Amino acid sequence: MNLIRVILVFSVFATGCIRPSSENKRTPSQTEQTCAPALQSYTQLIEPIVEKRCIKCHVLGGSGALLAAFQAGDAAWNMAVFSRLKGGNAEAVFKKASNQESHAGGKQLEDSDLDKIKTFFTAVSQCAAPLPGGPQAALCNGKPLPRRVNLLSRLELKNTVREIAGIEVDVNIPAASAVEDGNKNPRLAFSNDQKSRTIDPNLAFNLKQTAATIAKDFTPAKREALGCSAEPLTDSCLQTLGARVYRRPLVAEELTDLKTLGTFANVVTYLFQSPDFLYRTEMGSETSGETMTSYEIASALSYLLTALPPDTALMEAASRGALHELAARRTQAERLLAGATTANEALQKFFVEWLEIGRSETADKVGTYDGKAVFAETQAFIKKVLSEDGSLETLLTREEGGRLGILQQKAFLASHSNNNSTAPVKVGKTVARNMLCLALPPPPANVNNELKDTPDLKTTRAKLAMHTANATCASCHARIDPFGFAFENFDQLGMSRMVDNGEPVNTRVEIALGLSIDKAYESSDDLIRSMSQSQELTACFDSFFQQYAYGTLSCEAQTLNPNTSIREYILNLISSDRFITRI
Amino acid sequence: MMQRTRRAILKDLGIVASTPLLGTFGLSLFAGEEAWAQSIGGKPLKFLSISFPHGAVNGDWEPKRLPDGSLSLLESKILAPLEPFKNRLAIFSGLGHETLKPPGSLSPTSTHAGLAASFTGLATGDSKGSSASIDFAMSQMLFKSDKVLRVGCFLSYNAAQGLDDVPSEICYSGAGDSNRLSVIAHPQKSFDRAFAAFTSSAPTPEETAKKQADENMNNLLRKQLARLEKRLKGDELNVLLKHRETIEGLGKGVNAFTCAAKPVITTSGFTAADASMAAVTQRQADVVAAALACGTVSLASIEIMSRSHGSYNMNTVITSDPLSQIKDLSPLLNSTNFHNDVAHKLSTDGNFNTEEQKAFNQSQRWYMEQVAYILAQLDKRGVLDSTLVMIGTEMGHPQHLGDAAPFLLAGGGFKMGRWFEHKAEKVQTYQHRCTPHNHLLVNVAQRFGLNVNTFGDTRFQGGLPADTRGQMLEPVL
Repeated sequence: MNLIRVILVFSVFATGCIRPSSENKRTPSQTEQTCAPALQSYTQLIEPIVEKRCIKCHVLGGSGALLAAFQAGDAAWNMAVFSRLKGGNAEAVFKKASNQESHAGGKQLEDSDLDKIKTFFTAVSQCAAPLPGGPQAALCNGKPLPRRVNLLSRLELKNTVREIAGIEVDVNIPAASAVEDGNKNPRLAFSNDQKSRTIDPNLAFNLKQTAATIAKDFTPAKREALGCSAEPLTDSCLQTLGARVYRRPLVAEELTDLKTLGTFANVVTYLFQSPDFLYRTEMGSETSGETMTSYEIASALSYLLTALPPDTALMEAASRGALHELAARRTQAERLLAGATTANEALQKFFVEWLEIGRSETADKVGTYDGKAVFAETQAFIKKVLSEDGSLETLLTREEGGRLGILQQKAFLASHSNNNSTAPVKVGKTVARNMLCLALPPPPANVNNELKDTPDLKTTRAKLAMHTANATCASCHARIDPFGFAFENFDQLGMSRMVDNGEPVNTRVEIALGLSIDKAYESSDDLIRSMSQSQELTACFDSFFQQYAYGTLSCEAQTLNPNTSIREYILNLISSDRFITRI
Repeated sequence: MMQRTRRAILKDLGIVASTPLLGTFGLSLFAGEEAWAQSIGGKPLKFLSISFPHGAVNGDWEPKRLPDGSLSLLESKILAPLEPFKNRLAIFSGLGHETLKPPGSLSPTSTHAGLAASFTGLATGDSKGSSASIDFAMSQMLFKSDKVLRVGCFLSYNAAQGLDDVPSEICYSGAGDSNRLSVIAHPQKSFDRAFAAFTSSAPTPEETAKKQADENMNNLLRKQLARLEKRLKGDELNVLLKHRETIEGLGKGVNAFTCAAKPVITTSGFTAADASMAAVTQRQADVVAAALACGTVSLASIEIMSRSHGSYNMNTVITSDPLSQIKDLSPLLNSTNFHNDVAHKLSTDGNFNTEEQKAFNQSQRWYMEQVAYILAQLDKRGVLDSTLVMIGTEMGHPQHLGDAAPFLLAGGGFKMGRWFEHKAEKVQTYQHRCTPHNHLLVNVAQRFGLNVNTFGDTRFQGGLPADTRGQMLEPVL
């Protein structure tokens, strides 16, 4: 309970007093302004019930299945879990927990508890956005990020070298591994996630070799543009080259150090393996306090929106210290987002990694399948959505070639299927985990994924019925499989079909998970349209976009509706104090 | 003439990033390309591939891990002769020719294709490496053609009689059906090729300057890291501390070597008989070791015997080798068709300890004695630590199963003295879903500076993942 109070107090205190000042102070969010009664009623009325009764079964490893389990002593988490039960329907929650509707744990609530639950959910309904905390938003606690260094991603390094040296290199900087622990937020395998930033000997060696390659192949035109055509190298050359590589001006000592290296080849070999090139720093300076330096902000903006180093205009704005100002930052971001191809490449990469559709490009499939064309088609689709200033709703429901939104694109369906059959579990898992942030534990270690050939069970869906027949499997697959079965009218290539192994396909599913989208659906069309309007989708997207933007599992909930343009959402994100603050 | 960039050359070869090693290219294209292989201890790192035929029985060949974590090779029925070099070896188990299996299948498309695939990572049959082999890819990219030496120890080609170059069993250009490369069969001819224009291998001023520049750069890297470390704490600080530790690890050097005068090597003393197999192999090894040590050769390959033992009498081969320590020879070695009489009679149902298995292990152990001899010659001449030696065979179980094939690295270029136990899920007694050996080929190619992310089969991207113990193959300078 005390934790909630601390959060509330700190939230008000911090937004008013402690946060380092930028030119334009952030005002408390709508959520913070309107959710105080909900937070108060939870701590006073609900948390005692949860800690004393619910948590006995609805805990990780316990017998009770919920979207996410309660955690002893974590009031913020538990509040968010509770707020999502039965889609926020107090009567339904009471009916279940009081055993009026069959409840494995028997009667846990007294009649008087109904009023408490109603009070809480009424207060929750006044919030402008979902409560902070819980499966998708527990991480969105607004906690400031620490001072840190961010290793360039594979794409960022490739693009940066091309911009400076005019050549193509490709260093296999690994993406983070996806993490599922069954309760906390899943961590997706974004290629810029800083969980994987350790420079081990293999990576260090590859980087060293790449630096030598850059020195060897640096194009004469780029060298000339830097004023470095002739040797001995001039101070001007070293300062210009150094500033491009470090994305900030050199300090005097660094210039002296570069001079000791002598040749252009040695200087380039050193610069492109130096930490100030490999890492994008977010450390601020002795004078900037807890705010990133203007040059660091320029890099943060540029790499997020374009996967490129800051261009001349951004560096010029940084040199004036202008990027601490919200308006200037937003203006620069709008300019970068308007640059058609580069911005799209960086943002497309987020969507490709969020929905894990990259594997469609290289997938081996039984049947006529051109992975490159399939993937390119979806890239073009994402580009259209972005260029049309589309929203999440647009992404999910824009019709193209008879297909509804990105989930019916061949690339999505082919990415989440086997080489010779559909894989409803893979589709379902991606929708449940990546789009709705449902908590999914990892599969059991000894799980057998082979579907037996049984003469009586012809369709993939029929074979997967064992998931619901077996109680152990059902505890998780009830949250996964329905989202996949809805897409069974598409085969492993993503092509439309009416039959599976000679039997008619069945796409009818019922979602009964305590979500706002709970109901029966005839097909993926209905499900997609419903999801596109759901608060679960927007909150989940918000947390994952921020994982991508910050390269770590940490975020501050942003206001986002299904029809908010993705562009506007991003502009709001970079306008926040949190974007430029590191403590 | 306009100089072509490395990028352009790579593009011609079709090996940029994630594309397979394919191409119809000749040595002349790269005549102007300076050797720029990555240095080790101030000297260029050299490469030697050694192949031996017919695999090893899974469960018999692996080393033993002692309670203190160190390795013992003495109890391996095959690797025991390599015990003196165990700290300079990286041993890989659990690798396999997954490239030969269609997606979702456990059976290879061709049971013979491993011979071609072991160093190419892709094959269409036992005579068709359908992409370039690792040595050829590197010879094209990194070394002048006169710095390349491929020798064979093929008794069937009768080195004493013919002296002609013969088609390689493992080296392919990747240029279609006629892509086999040639190997030199006679040690004298190998010597002539390697030392025709030799004078001295003292370090050049350029090599000395490069070593000095590397040291300067490492000092500056440490300085920059220390500057950044001041503003970080906790996990964020640890990121940079780990980076610094890595740089220190990469800086480990090796003893320099020189070769002031042309070496004297015996290149005679063998006849056209099974009894000369050891002599041919060891004289070829003498030449290769000397050539690598004196710097006349930067890349070499040694093929010990031809495929699948052919029709050799292994009893004669072993008993005629004065260096062999193999005792209590199995009578089955006294066969004129070892391939069919012994290797193919090994059980695949887990029936261990048969006489056939004993005979086969003794045969394979003899190959390891030859490998140990080669490594000893390199060491004696001070070039082992600056040569990356890759040792491979075309299969695991000798019934032509590509699973769990033994691969070894030796010498320099990577942190040695380790046994990497890669994931190999057992499906049947000798059948596994293995870690593709293509990843190891990528590690080796990248170690030499080839900007590739796949080798042979594009399905398998990147170098080897961590093994089941979490160990990663770590390059050293």
